[in-house]
Amino acid sequence: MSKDRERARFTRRLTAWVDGEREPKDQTLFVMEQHPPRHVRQSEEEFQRREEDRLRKFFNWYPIAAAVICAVLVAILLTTVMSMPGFGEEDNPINNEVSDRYLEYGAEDTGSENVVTAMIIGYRGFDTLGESCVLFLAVAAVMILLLRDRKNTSELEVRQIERDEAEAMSHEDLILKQVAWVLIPFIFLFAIYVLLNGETSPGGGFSGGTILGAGLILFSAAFGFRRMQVLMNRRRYSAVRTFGLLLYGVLYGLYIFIGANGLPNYLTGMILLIDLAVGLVVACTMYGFYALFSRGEI
Amino acid sequence: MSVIHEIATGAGLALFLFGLFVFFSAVLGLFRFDYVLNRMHAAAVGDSLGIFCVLIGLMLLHGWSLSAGKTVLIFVFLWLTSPVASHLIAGMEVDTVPDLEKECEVEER
Repeated sequence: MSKDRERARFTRRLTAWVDGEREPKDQTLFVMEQHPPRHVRQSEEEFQRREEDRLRKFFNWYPIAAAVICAVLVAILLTTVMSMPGFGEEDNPINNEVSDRYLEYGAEDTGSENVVTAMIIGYRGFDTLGESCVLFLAVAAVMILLLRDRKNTSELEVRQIERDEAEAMSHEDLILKQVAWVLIPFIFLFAIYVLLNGETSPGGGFSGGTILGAGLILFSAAFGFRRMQVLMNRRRYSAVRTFGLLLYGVLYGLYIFIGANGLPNYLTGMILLIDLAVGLVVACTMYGFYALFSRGEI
Repeated sequence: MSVIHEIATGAGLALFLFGLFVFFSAVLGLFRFDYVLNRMHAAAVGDSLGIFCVLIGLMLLHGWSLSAGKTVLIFVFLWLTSPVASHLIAGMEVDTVPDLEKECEVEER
């Protein structure tokens, strides 16, 4: 019984914290000026004198400490450089069998003609998975800070936004709309081309996703936010973004368990699907930043 | 045939160098002018005439091929988008600056 209540209180506190209703504890480590409590405080001149003394001491020691720390860092880095092999020698680690292996067996191991894609998504897929997670979390953090909902928007602000929107609708820019009307299909076409050709030509998930996101931003800027919401509302946005990351995680996990490390690769077309997943995550990140920073909603 | 080829190479080189000169003056103007609209004018010179000269010069230098076709596409894209972007920035500047007469001459229409 009491455990349940405990949990309910924890959930309520967490919700309040996420909604920004509870002030965080002040955890400032260092402040330049410190006032002692009133009952032990000396006279004002004494305090001034002490404070100046303290600051003078601080600024006397500061350059010395900075110089010492810099010298120590330089020494550490220089000794590290001294112990590294010389530039361009034949038996350096950079010229060993790893790069040869990538170049020779890349197509066979991962099923991708493009060696760069093979490395990014095949051999070092976990690194790229981490990058996708970073993008996903960045959008999540911006959403926590900037997303507008019932609780953090007053009626006045809502009315102000509606007025701005009506004014923007009445002054639509004809030049921008016409040019966007011509360009947007080609931008989307090019984005799909780059996404699907990551295996065989330069491009792939990150660049294709960026082009796709730029197309979405252009559409939103030219035709207004309301028309964009027909294509992509908040629910669909979250679904696409999560689907991209999950698809990547599941596919790469499968790849690692059944195909990697010398075993034959059973997942033909894996690179293509992972490229698509990365592209979805990147496009959603770009469009999400634009929408959240410009309007505070998606 | 070779005469045409040499003429094309010469014309391409001349166009390319002229485009570089245009870009140089555009950058110079971008740094020397004070006001937003003046600087946009300087930048637009590079974005339209400079891009035109450099890309046409490159196409003449390399002859007709698939990459020349792609260059044409890049050129069309840049000429479509760059003026629109400038138009939007200039419109925003005119809309938001309280007294435009102080900054530059305004033509009444």
